[in-house]
Amino acid sequence: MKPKTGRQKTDDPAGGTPFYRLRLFVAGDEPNSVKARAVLSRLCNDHLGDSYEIHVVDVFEDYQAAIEHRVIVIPALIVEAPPPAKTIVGSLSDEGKVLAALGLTEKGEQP
Amino acid sequence: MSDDKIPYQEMQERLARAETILDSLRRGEVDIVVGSAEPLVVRLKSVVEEKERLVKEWQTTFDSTNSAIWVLDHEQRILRSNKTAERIFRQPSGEFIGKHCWEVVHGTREAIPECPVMRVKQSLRRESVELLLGERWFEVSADPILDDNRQYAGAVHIVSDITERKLTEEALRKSERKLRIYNEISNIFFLASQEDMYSEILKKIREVTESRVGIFGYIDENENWVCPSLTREVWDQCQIPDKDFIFPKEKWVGIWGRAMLEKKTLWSNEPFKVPEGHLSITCAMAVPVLYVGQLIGNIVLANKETPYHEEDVALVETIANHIAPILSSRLQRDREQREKEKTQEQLMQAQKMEAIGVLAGGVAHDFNNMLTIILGYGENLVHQLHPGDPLREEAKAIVEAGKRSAALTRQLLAFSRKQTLQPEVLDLDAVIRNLDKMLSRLIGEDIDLELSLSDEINRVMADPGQIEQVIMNLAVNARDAMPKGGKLLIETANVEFDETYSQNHVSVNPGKYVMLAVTDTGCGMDKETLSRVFDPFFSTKEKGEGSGLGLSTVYGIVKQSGGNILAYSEPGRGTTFKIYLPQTEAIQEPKTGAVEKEATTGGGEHILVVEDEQSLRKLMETMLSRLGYKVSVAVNGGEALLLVEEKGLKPDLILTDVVMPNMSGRELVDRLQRNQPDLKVLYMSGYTDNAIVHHGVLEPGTPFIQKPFTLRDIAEKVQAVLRGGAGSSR
Repeated sequence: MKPKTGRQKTDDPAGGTPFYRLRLFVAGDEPNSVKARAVLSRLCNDHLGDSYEIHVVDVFEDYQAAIEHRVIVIPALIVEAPPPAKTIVGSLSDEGKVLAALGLTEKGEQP
Repeated sequence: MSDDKIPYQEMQERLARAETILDSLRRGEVDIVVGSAEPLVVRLKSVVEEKERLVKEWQTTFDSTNSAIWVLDHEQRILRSNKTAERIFRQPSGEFIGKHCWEVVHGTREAIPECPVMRVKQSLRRESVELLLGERWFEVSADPILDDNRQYAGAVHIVSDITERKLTEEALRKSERKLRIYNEISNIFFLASQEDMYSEILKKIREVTESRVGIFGYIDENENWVCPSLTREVWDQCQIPDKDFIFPKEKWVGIWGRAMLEKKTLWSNEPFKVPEGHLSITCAMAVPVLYVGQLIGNIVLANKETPYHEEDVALVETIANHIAPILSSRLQRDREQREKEKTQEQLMQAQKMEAIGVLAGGVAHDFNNMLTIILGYGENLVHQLHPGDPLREEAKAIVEAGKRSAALTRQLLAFSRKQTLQPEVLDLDAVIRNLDKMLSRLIGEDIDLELSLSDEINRVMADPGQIEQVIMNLAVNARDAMPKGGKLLIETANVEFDETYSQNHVSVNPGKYVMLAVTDTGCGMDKETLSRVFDPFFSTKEKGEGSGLGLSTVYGIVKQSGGNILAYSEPGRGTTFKIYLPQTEAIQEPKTGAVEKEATTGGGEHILVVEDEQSLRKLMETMLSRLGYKVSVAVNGGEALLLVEEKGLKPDLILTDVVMPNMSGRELVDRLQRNQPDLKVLYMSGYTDNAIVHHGVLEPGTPFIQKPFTLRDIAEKVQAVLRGGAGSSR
């Protein structure tokens, strides 16, 4: 597993923005994987400030992690925190759906 | 029931997840699927993108083909169409889809039975047909579409514009056809006989132009259009009187004549006005064959079922261009061949005459010696017999027969050019004018004699007596050729032959000549007769009418005089004999007055007779003794020299044979005259051999007596020589 973090994690301030722990499974430089990585990076940057941590797993290097996390298709994004855990598959091109899964409105507010 | 609820919920979640995954897969947002059983990742292509790409690619390909393509269902309804179909059928695709193909293509309400789509339903394999729609050619083909059970499910209907291909094919076909015609014509030129060549080439050209009749001919040296093909093509159908297959330039009329005169193609599809008996002509073309601008032939075609098209004319013109060089070389070859044959014929004729001449000359010479004896002793006999003696008449008959035989052998000698000529510088015009009266009497009243004599005729060297005989013989011949009357024309002219002429005529040397032509308007001769006309004893006259030696004599005299004689004749068109005698620069000697009648007996003068033949020698001795001379004899030149130079014999006259073994008469006389320049000489001979005396001709004025001779002849001659001196003429 190769953790890739956008920012340093910050403490979860009570009642503030929750801390997001995200795990993105990609397949090398395949088109959908490249796209997913870019979309996620941009969305996090736009909506989550510093409160997130992204772990990017390249299955070409570590397919075992995919099996452990019961990931069948790549790319796939697992939102590990905040609970409940959610999995989004595909290239993340439907950004609305991604934001919803992260519990963020389109305006960047929490649900 | 929490036990039930949980699995259900989980099932719901799993389903939702599966749905999501499937959805992603469908949208092509997935790169790989991770297999859980194997340590493998399976790479996935974007299904959707690929499918779209394929669909697009297929459509692009479909639209890009230059053929109109429809996919038809089993009822021939159009399911799909490409862009080219829109262009070819000039309708947007939307208009076709769902319609039956025949409605769009043929505008009919029913299928066309012979349509390839109908046929493909039966055959289940490609069917196609080529159609001409408007000005463009199309190929329509149908390929079957089979279902899984290999049943007919529809067809791919393809319409391709093949106009370009068709045009190329047509051009290729035309050029191949031309090439084939060229080849066939070339073959005819090289393989066909002279006789067949023209009609076979014409046949070929008629075939390719679909012309029912035609003429193909060449231009000969005399600017005649000669059409050997005509006799085979339409000879039987043509009802024109006096039809001919040789057309002289002045008779070039009509479209074919004008085409040749103007050297350009002429054609017309209007019916022609033709003379009576002529084949009716509905349409015609005339294409002259030109080689380096020169007219060498003409191709005339007529009566095609349909009018002639520019293409027909162009085709014949290219054929004319193609055959021009071949025809030209062929004509050249034929001309050379004809000239060669003619020369060879002349050569053979000359050789034949030479051979007959040698033979006749040899016979005549021996004959003459014998005749001299017959005549000599015969006359002797007549003189010695008493006038009342009954044997005298018989002896006279022997002498008469001998004289007739002598005349005959003289003619033979003349022909064989072995008679002794005594040539003089001669004015032919004068000779002819002198003969004028006699000729008129000879030819009779029914024949007009016309003289066309050159004013300033050059002189020739010839024996006047012989030339007179030549003219008389030709005149007699002409008379006999004109039993119903006619015209006899005698012409003279100065001519000059150049190298070219002499190369084409055997035994004619270049130089200046005087021509003497004798022309009659009589029955003429065919080629066969003409080739034998100078042969001795060849005669077309009734037996007893002529000796068959007249023209042979003429031939011999002319040849011996260094000249040439040519005969021109055609049956029914008269005959012309042309004699060419070499012109001489010598000056005519003034004629001496007539010699007085000589006494026939001698006065004891001494004569030395040199003769190698014993019986003749003896005869001479007898004759001369009877005439009152003192006679000595010598067997040959050697003995004669011995008698004169050693034994001191002093003869007044030497009478010597010309041809003798070892020393000729001439040599003997030369030798004797060295010491006795005024020694008188009389030569005698059966003939004079070319090798010994100036080609058979003694110098003018040399005294000479021709064997056989009568007593009177020899008496006169001897007297003349004795009285006149060594140089006296005969």
